[in-house]
Amino acid sequence: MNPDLKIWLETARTNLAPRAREIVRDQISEHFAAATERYQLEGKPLLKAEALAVLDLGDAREAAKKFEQAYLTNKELEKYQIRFAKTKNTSAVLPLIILSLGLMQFYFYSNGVKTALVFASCSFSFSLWHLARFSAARALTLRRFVLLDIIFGVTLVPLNVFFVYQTYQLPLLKQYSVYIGVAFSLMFFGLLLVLPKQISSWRKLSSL
Amino acid sequence: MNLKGSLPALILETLARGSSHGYEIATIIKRKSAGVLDFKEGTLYPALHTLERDGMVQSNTELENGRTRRYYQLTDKGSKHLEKSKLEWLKMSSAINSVLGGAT
Repeated sequence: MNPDLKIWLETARTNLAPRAREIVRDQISEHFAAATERYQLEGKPLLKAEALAVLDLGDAREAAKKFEQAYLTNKELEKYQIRFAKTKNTSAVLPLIILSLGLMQFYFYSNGVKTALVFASCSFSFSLWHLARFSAARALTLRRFVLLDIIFGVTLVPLNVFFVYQTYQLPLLKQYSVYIGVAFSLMFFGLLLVLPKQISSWRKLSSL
Repeated sequence: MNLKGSLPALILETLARGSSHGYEIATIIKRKSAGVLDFKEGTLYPALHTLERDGMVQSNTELENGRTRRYYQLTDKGSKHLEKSKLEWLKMSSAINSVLGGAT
């Protein structure tokens, strides 16, 4: 490989995930070969043709920024791989459900049916979330795993928040309604901030 | 000239005339603009990848003179998006022309 092209590729692909690095290498090498051939046809000697072909690619650092927007980066991949591995190795689903049942019984006797129901809704939906993530991790598909995280994050969190809010319209809680409102708003905006990033990572992962 | 934001539309327009590989797309854009739109070719591939991910183009590899080449084609979605982009561009360029042309 031409040494200048090698340096260009190393700079432009620095932060990309391994599969993305391969794709970019193939595309740019193909482009480089076509450009060199064209310059040679125009009468340029090989070394000059290759130098011009690398020059046409532009600044490698600028290209790196564009590649990182379009392709999965090492950082994104590592983040999901760590989460994926953690979920895959955990066997916390059953204890979580048992714990939920135990706590539900406790709430039932101490605070009544309403509280127990709210708690059941939250704990079971999050147990289900965990179970789905666990199954996805077992099925060895990182893509499904990330997708599930997005789907459950989008549906479960607002659903539970809404359910808790609807159930606890009690005088005591109305007193703290400003704080509750602020907390819910923060959760909502947090979700809005995280979601596009999650979806973007998932789409990058799917396109590899 | 800075191509910020318009590269995807230029790629789609190039592909509307038939399937092409990356180098050919870059050459066609430069030739048709008489060298005015002289973008850095390294930025073409992230744009192509994003268009492919969004379903605007699709690609397949072909063996040509002993070399593997990836050819890109416009999809129906890409075609519709191109029409929309063209209309937006015409609207915007006509507005800018009105201002810069000194129309009162």
